Amino acid sequence: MQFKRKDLLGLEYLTAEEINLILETAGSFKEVLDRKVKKVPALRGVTVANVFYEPSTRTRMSFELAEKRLSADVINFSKATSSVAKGETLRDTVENIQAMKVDIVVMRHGSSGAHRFMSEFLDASIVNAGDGQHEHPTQALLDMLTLRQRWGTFTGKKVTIIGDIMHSRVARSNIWGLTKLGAQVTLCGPPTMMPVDIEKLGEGGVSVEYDLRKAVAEADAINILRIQLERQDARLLPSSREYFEVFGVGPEALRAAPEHCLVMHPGPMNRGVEISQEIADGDRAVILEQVTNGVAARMAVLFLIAGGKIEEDDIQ
Amino acid sequence: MLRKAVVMDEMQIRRTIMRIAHEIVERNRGVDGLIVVGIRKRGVPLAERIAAAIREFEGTDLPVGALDITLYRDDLQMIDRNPVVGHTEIGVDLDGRTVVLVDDVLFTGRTVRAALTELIDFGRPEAIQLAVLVDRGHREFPIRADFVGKNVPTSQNETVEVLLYDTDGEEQVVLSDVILDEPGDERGIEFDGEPAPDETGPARKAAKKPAGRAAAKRKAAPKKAAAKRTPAKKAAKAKPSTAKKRPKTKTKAKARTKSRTKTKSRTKTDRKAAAPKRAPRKSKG
Repeated sequence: MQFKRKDLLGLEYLTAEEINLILETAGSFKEVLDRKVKKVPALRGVTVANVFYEPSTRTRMSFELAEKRLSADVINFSKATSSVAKGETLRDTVENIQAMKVDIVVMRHGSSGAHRFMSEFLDASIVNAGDGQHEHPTQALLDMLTLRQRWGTFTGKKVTIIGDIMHSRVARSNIWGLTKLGAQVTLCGPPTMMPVDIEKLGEGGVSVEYDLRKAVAEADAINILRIQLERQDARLLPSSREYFEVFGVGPEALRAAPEHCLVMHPGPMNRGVEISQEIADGDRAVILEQVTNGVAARMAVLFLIAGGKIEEDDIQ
Repeated sequence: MLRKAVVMDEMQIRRTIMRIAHEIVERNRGVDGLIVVGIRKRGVPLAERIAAAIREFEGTDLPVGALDITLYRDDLQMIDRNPVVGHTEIGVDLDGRTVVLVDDVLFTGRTVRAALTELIDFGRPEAIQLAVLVDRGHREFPIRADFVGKNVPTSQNETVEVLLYDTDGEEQVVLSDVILDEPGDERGIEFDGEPAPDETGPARKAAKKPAGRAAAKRKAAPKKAAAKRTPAKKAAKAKPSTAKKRPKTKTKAKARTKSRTKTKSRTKTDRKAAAPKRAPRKSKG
């Protein structure tokens, strides 16, 4: 199986085989992170630009670490300290970065579809590190890597995603990724945060449930999303306290779930809003494991994208 | 690929592994602090067999590791666009240990170079020794194996395949000819039905390079005889055997490539033709 993509725009565009290849490669890269010297020369000579138009801690650090672990040269760009503040357009900014002979651009942008737009005129590969409310493919890949390590397979497994589905790019990438590999996804959250016809996404394995206890009753894993108050145009919740009462995952809600149910969260966590203190630090939580897997998953994506670009060059 | 000779059969492979295992113990005066590490893919089952052989006559279980060198290759983006990255499992701390690195075929030395770089990322071994089942020559790096199962003289257009039950379902070492599928295949440039003198010369000498001092004495006589042979004689000897292997029918594209490569390689061949002439003089001096 060859990975022939120039870009990673989202999991919607990948096949199940391609997702499996990334996860398999990521499994090998995780072993690199446990070595004495946590660095391999695989991307020596490749230059990666991290272009972040939105604030980020985990994703940016994780990408930067992945790039450095692969021996790539890294340059960082953030909106606040760049010419974007002087009025430069997205296209101009990224074209200038390309003119500096950058090979891969890892980009986060507040507008859905910004990466797709950029990929049409950039020779450099683009890796989506989050685009608006659309996709966050590497987050979904690290979630899936964590589950794959526990389960081995996704066939017949049930994953419940709880929270602000409307504003969540993590939810969309997870829906596409998990259903392609044979898992069933249940979405749960306030009706004001549930997009219309969301169950039509994915490959037929998506359902919506508004009762939290029913939603987790058969779940093999629950993925709790952060309430993204910064993305809400209008107040969609009466209060954070009321949200926790109805959709917050605490010990009582988790009692309704099977014993083996894993608890996931993409971070950053709002303790006491979508997840309780006990659950966040409990033994079912694999949240820190997700963070470790994030570096491995991103190493795999960068490694395969770097190879994929060469394949395309050869075809031409 | 066109199989042309079985270089080693199952029994020979078994005996060779047993001999290498004995040589390892003898050279290291025991098995203290030894670890056997196989280079994926076929080096791993070979490492396991060497460790099993040592267990048989020494009664000691040696740790066995597996090394995947994909991420350390210097030609990663040239040879295989998306090579499958396998796991590396060493299992023990390498500090102060003697590592016996095991691979199936030693060719250019690039794989071993990558393996050495990767190994020292795991710690600081006291020593690293190299054991290979087949040494086919054509080194591009200054690397030499400490334990060699069999030296097989080859041309650049030949491949040596080690087939093991664990990975391939059969057990033998096969010498094959590379068949050119595409006109632009550069690997065929030197091969013209008539091997360049250096292909038979140094490769054959490398093949006769003995594994140890005792072997050197045993092999001294035939080596001298080979050195006396003139390159012209060698080329003449090599002609009939290789000529047989040429494909009888050629496509137009292939014919075009060959005529192109002939002219291309002429200067190269001429340059290389001088090398074997100098070699005997050097050895006398």
